[in-house]
Amino acid sequence: MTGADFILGILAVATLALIAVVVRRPEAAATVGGRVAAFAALFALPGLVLMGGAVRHYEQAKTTTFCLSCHLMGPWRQSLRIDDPRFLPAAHYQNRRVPVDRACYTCHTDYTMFGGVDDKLRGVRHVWHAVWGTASDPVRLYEPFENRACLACHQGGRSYEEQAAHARFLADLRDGTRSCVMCHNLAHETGRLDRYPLLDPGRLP
Amino acid sequence: MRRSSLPGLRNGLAGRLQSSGLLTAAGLGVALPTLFWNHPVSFFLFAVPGAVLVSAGMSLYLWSVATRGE
Repeated sequence: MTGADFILGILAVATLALIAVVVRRPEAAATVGGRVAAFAALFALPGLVLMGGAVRHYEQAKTTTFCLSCHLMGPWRQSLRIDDPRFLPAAHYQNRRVPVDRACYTCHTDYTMFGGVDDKLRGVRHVWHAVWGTASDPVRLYEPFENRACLACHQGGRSYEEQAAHARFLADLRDGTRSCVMCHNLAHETGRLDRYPLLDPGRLP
Repeated sequence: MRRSSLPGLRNGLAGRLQSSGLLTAAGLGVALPTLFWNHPVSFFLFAVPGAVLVSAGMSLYLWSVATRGE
């Protein structure tokens, strides 16, 4: 629990206490002090708690723990343990090329102006399918993987741009006519995890 | 509590404030535990019963204040 969470919790409890006062003595709203208390208890403070809660959920939904807390994601959790550097997600996660606490989000967010909001809407769709059992089997991305996710980190990087295979297709990769995953095609491979050696969980970051 | 007997308040306003308070409190009661649970279901609980009830309570309060002179 962070300091902000604690403050938000205290604010919510204080709001509930003030609401209890207003509900028990609504006649106090006839006075100026009572009106201020009613405004705070029934509008200003709940609004603050709601906004703070929304921000907290928004941030929380970016964490690796959040994504992997859904039981459907079990194989994806396991795929991060593949002990083979050719597998992109495992190699990025194990070598901390992505922030470990935001591993899923870093590669699967849409790096556009409203990308974060789109992600949350997609997340709601994920949960909806998971709750009602309508998720595709095997689970698939709704849309093809965008190069933007790779280029958000790699574009401009010397080791990326000077690498011969990349240098030939830089423009194509930038405008999306050629996909990164055409060559880097070993991703989570959840359907055949039993074929690959897995790293001991204790050695994961 | 008889609403009509409340001094200084027009009939109905006290009841609406109480209803608004109960809706808001119910919403906060649902939303508060979700803040400390890192799971997709907690987001749904926050958004659907939690935020909807709090918003309903806040809207009822605003409506009560806006129409209190009628």
